[in-house]
Amino acid sequence: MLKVENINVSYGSVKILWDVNFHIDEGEIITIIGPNGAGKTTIVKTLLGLIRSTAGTIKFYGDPIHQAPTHQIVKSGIALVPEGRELFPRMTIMENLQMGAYTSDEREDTLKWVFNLFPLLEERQKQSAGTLSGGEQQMLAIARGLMSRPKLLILDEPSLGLAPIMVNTVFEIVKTLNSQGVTVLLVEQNIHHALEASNRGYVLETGRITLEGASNELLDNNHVKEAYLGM
Amino acid sequence: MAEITTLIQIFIWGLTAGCIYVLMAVGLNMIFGVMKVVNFAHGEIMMLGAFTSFWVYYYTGLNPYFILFISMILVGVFGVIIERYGFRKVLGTGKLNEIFLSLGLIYILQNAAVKLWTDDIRKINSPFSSATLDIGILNITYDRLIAIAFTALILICLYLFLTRTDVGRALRATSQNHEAAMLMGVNVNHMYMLSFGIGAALAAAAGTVAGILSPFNPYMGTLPGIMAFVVIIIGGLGSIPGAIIAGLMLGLVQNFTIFYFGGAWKEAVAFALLIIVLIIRPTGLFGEEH
Repeated sequence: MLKVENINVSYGSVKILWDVNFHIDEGEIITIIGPNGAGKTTIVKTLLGLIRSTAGTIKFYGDPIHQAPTHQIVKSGIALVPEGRELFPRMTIMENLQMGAYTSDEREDTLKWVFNLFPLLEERQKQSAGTLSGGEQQMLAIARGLMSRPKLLILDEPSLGLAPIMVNTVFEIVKTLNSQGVTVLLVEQNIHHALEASNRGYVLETGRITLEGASNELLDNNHVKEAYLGM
Repeated sequence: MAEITTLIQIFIWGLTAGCIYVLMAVGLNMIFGVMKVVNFAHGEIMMLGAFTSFWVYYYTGLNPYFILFISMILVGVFGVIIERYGFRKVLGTGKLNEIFLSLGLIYILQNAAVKLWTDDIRKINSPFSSATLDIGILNITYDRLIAIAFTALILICLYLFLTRTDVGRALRATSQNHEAAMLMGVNVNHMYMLSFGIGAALAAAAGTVAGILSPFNPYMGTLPGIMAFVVIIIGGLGSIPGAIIAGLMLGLVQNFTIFYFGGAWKEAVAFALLIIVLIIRPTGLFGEEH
């Protein structure tokens, strides 16, 4: 469904991504893992058109999207739950969800689905988003991402800054969503969890994809074990 | 008893002056919130609103309170054009470019107004100009009461638009988190045009009300333009409730100052108030801390 070919990205004269290639098939959970500063968030922002690539192509269902403006990419069926949640703090939970559905027509049904996944949000729908705890904010950020009924949901560091029990909850939700037919791209520094939750993974190091493969194989890979899992 | 009626009279005067500040400041704040652009020419857009109403009145003779809405639409469209072909072009190229664009607009608009309408003193004649509401020895001109009612009406419509419609919510979302709004599928370029259009329309309403209440010339916008900045800084950058409360407060404080200490203190007291608020609460009354 998504095919990224030879993407290169620079900030000014500093090159961040070098010939990045990966693809996502419908129904998969894919993860891109790597250390801080490897360029993971840059990949995500490039997918959504927030940063422009200097070379390479991105195709979504065969259509090139690397030149498209962000709002059109979102409309075509990609939703990003950004790093740091990026909620609208002075809007209520309900208003945040309504913003998530800005491009969508089937609001009522989606709202029921999302409230079913996150009952807490229904109870507190009139509460302002800025007053939620970190874990609750992450739930709202994911729920808001789902409101556009995305075909591909991208989660950038969803476990960052969460208590261990919330981290487990987040990965459980990812699996639940996937079982309901949502394709997921998970970008994570929490490598162990990310590989356990996903089908396939790519390892990104200093702007290059250095390893790829089935997630259970990557978990057994010596380089991954030594560099990231501390074994 | 004469004392109390005088005080009520001053209160109404302060409130109408405050309404003009509120209409100016709410629009300025909306433009700043959505685009992070500081529009120093907002007072000149207000002046254009007054002259547009004057012009439409001159050629049609319609009721000026109906013309107010025509003026809001025409000047609103003008605001959209200024955004699209002016501010948009320099957006993100540096704050100084935006500042000088808006400073330049002040003189372009003032000179254009002098060319079009001369710098004679004008007035928009209201059919109620001599009608007063008399309660005992208290008399208040209908025009002032209408100004207050129209401001309230416009603010209620704006509130409903911002909270009850998708586009209104998108405008607030863009002002709270620009990139997140893009990720929701909002075309932020449309939001820029819309915020400028609404800001200009509100300034046109302020200009028309001001032009009905007192005579004006092409330089009428200079002081209200600066006062609108004072209001949004007192109320808190980006806060619309803050702009409303601070605007009314400034109008009242100024008018009571004129009564007790004389007209010479009118501007000084505004800035004194600004400095006091900033010392006590640097983010303004309703400003968000970031």
